[in-house]
Amino acid sequence: VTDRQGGGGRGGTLVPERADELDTSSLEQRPWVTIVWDDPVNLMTYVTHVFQTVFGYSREKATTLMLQVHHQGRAAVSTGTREEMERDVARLHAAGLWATVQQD
Amino acid sequence: MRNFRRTGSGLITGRLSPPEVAVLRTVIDEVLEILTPDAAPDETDPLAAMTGMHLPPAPDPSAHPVLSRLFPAAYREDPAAAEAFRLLAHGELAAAKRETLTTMRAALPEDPESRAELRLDGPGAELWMRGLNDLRLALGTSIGIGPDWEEQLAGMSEDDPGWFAIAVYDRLTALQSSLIDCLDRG
Repeated sequence: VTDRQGGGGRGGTLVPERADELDTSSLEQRPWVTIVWDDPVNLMTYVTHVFQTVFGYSREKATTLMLQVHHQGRAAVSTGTREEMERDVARLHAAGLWATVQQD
Repeated sequence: MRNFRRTGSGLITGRLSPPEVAVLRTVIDEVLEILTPDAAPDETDPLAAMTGMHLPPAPDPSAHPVLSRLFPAAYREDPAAAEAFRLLAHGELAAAKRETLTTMRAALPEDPESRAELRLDGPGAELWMRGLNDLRLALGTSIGIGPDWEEQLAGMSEDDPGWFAIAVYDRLTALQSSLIDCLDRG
C-alpha cells in the first residue's frame, strides 16, 4: 500500500488503536479467512475505499485494516465459510487487491 | 491541477489534457492486448469437458507478469485449490476488466489534439477508479515499481532511460488519486 503524498497519518483518529478489534474467537467455528497482502502500487486511499465498498465496513474499520496491511504486510479482512471467502477473494481480485484464502 | 471535480448535481467531471488522453489510450491498448486471449476457447478445456460449462477462458498467469499480478493465486500453499479457483473465477474477472478498459477507451477522443471531458455518475466514477488502478498495477508490474518510486522519479532527469515510464505511472497515480478524493468526499 502506498501513500501518494508520503507520510502516513491523516489525523489521530486513524491510528490503529483498535487493531485487536479483529475478532479471532469466531475463527474456531468459521475457520476460513481472507488475507490481503501489501503491495507497492495500491494507494492507501484506494484500499480503504475498496474495504468500505466491498465489505460495507466503516471508514474507521477500513482504515485500520488498510494500515495493518501497510505496516504488517498483511491483514485478515474477513472470516467465514470457504465459499464466502472465495467470493470475497474474487471481489478483491476484481478490485486489484492481492488477496488469498486460507484456513487458520 | 486536479483532474476530477464533484459538481453540484452529484456528478464527477474529469478533464484530461491531450497528452493525458494520449498516454491513457496507449496504456489501455497495451493492457487490453495482455488481457485478450490469443485464440479461440480451448476445446480441451478440462472444466468444460467435466461440467459442460463454458466459462470465459481464465488468463494463464505464467504467460505474463502482469497477468500474475492482476490474477494472483487465491491459495498460497495449495496449488490445486488455486488452479480450481483460477479456472472458475479469473476468466469472468478478466472479461470484466476488459469491459472496463474498453468503456474508458471509448470515452477518449481519437484526435491527438483533443482534450477529454468526462461526466461520471457514481458507477462511472467507480469504473474509472478501478480501471485506473488496473492500469497502474499493469504498468507498475512491468517497470518493477517499488515503494520508493516517488524519490526515484524526483532524482531522475528526463533523459534517463526509464524516466518516461515512471512519469506516466506518476500521472496515472495523480489521476486515480484525484478521483478517489472526489469519491470519498461524496
